[in-house]
Amino acid sequence: MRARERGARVKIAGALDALVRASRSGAPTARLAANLRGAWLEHGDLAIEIRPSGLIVDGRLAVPADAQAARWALPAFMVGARTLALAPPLEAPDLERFAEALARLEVEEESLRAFGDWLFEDGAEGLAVELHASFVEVLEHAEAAFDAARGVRAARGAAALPTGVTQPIAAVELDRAALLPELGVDIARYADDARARRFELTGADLRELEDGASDPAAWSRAELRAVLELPALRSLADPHDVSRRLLAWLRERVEAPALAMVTGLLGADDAAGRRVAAALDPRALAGAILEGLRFEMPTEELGDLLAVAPAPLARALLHGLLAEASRRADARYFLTQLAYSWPPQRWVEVWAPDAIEPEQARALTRVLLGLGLDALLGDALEALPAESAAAALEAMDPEQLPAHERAIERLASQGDAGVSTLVGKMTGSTAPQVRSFVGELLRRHDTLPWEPREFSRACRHLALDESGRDVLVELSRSTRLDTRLRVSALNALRGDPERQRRASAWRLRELMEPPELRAALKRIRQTSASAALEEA
Amino acid sequence: MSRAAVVHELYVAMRAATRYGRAHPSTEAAATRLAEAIEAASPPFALQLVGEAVFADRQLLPLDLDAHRRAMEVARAAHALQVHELSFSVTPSRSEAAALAGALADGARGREGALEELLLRSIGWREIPQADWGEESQEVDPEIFAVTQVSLAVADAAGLGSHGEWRWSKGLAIVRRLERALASHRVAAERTLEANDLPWTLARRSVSAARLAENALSLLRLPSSARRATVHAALMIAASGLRERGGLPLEEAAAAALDRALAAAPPRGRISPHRVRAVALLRALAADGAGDLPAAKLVALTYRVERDRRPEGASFDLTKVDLLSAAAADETVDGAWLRLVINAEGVLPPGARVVLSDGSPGLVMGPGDPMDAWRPSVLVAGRVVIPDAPVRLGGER
Repeated sequence: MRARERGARVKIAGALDALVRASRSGAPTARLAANLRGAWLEHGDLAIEIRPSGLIVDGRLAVPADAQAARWALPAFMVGARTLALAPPLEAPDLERFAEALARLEVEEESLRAFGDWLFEDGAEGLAVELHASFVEVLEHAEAAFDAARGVRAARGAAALPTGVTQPIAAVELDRAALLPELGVDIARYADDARARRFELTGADLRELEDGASDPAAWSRAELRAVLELPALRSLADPHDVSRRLLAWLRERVEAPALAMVTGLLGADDAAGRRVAAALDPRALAGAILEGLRFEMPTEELGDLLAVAPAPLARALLHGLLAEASRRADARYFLTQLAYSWPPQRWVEVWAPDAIEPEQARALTRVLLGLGLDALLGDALEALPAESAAAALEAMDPEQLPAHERAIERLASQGDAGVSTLVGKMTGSTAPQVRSFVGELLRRHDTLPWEPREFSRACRHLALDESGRDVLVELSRSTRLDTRLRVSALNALRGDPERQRRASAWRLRELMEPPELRAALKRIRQTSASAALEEA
Repeated sequence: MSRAAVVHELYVAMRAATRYGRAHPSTEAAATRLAEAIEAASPPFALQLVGEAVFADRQLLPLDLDAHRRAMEVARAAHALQVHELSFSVTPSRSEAAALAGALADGARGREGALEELLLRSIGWREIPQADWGEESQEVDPEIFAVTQVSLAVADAAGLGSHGEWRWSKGLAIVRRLERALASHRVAAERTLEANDLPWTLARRSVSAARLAENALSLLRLPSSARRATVHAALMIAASGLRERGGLPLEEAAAAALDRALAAAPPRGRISPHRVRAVALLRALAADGAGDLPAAKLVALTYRVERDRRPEGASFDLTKVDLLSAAAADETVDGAWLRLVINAEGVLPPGARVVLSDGSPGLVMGPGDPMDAWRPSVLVAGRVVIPDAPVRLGGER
């Protein structure tokens, strides 16, 4: 190891001692702890040995103990602490807490016991402390060992154990035990099973038990439930730690108890609950819920949460759900179910429609239609941005569109191209009221930049009834309409010679019409004349 | 004057005797001060020089670094004389104090047996076997260590009671002792609890439940935090739920343990990860049976075993193998955890009553033939033997 690196490692021990001294004197420790953390993480393999004489690094005395420096080394050694090493993740506050505990340490039995308990209880988070027997335990052992030695000699056969156990065993006792129904002792069966090796564990069994018993997520969930459900713990909890664990749980899997906990926290009237609720960032919480949500779960708990959630949280959740619903049928179904447990006016309160994307709008429309909330849908369409409103309308059946005339009118008056698509969609309906609505729409908005193909299809659709053909006559003669569209309207009248004649009747104004229209009119008139001649 | 001052004066007198000899005025003056210090410390009392610490009447003496260094010089001299405890029944005379200082000076020079030549009225001394243990724990007989730790754990558990706030420190001490005992000598630890004819007190059953959990978990590679919390929870439920015979139903026992756990305020108002974890286990058992915490199933099993050990409505106690048989026949017991327990304890655990091939009854003391679980080491008529032929269980026909 190079001298420079060795020096850096020695400095880490010095920095730890400096942190302890700062903590003892009440000086600020945050910066010292952060620096120590950074330096120690750079030398992750460093283990600081503790001896009464001081701190040892790489086999050398790095910080000699005296009345000031490494004063804590002796009591820590007495507790049984031998080495300190990193056990990441390590945060600066972990080091501050550790230094605080060392600063309080005195060569006094109660202080030593408390520190030893704290270490054994994993209080030194982020650090691995090698813990031997404390001096007090050494004495206890020494005092008790004599009797133990006698017992061990007996067990090894050097002397008889207490006489009771050497008496013949009363089989009658076992028979009586077997008769107790709650015990159901069946020695013979146990022996048979044991001889048949039915109690053996496979490697897979062991791994399963190991995985289950050490599953950090399961522990974290159980601890979180304990902390949040038991007021005695809740008042002691670190709100940020609780918040972090709660988010981790939700991210992994949204379960009813977790949602119920969040709901309880948002409505908590105790100071501790409010502290934790304040530590929950709405966006992060919504993100965690959306990440861990499985759409097969019941919706009641999420509905309860949405009912009390502050608007930013409810909004983020709603938008996230809508985004999922735009992609997945199960999410759509989930959202529909959810809406049953959530008052409709809440949607309007929280949803911030101006931020709803077209895909979300489609999903929202399907959900609201599924719920039969047409009125709410009307409000929604008016509040959505034009592109999203168009997308929402597209998600409807053509027969439903005339009921949302206001929304379509708004789009049309804004010159939104989506109206063309809507018209095209409506041409798929044979319902007279839909056709009539299309006609009115085309007539009222003849200045719109209609998409030619959709317009042409709409014209053919209008040609199917009398009133529609009247509209076509109007359209064909409208000078505000694009020439290609007027030609489409004219062409659509092909099956109605009378109206076609009206549409193509010569006017002085025709001289100012674009050539292609004039050509089309001329062609129609010629065709009409030929037809008349043939007829004559 | 404190008893720490006695240690200081012992050091000064020993150094004076080492440097100037016993008869020198400086040594006599130091001996006088030693005698005065002993008088001021109100005899009778005893100093224990054990490991690297000094105790007065088994209470750790609060020494600063320099005082500790001086005390260790005295301790090293005393240990060289095979002495670990100095007792002062009354105030010694100056000559007695000087004689003690001189003997310690001899010890410091490596002269063994210096104290044996003395006959002092006011000062006694003795060797405490195992007292040099500490740093060199590997030199301690592991069996003796395991037995000692288990015995101390049972003694600690006697102070836990079944009501009132949970004594976390004592509970932790028991968990720590069991952990070390099992790491040192698993079979001795088990035998100490299981194979003796002392009564099955609540303390013994509580420690037995915790040991069962520790023993089973020691077969798994688990973080120590998960293992310790599980063992502690097993201890808490057993201590709170077991009764002289039988015990409360599991959920009630867990609820009682939970109440006790929460009644104890954490030090400095900050709850440790261990406490949170142990409480989470108790809450899961009290509220959901076991919830989704697999370790809770083991705690439930250990409680069941110790509750049934002294069944209600019966006048006898069951052995471990009876209890495991009963659990094996019960479909409500989690099979995987039970198999783990049986593997950890052995199909014939210590304390099992067996019958040898010649019909003589015996008591299993531990593993015997490594290739045949049915030939364990057995206590028969005062001798521990490994039988030639497989044994059968006492209850087998």
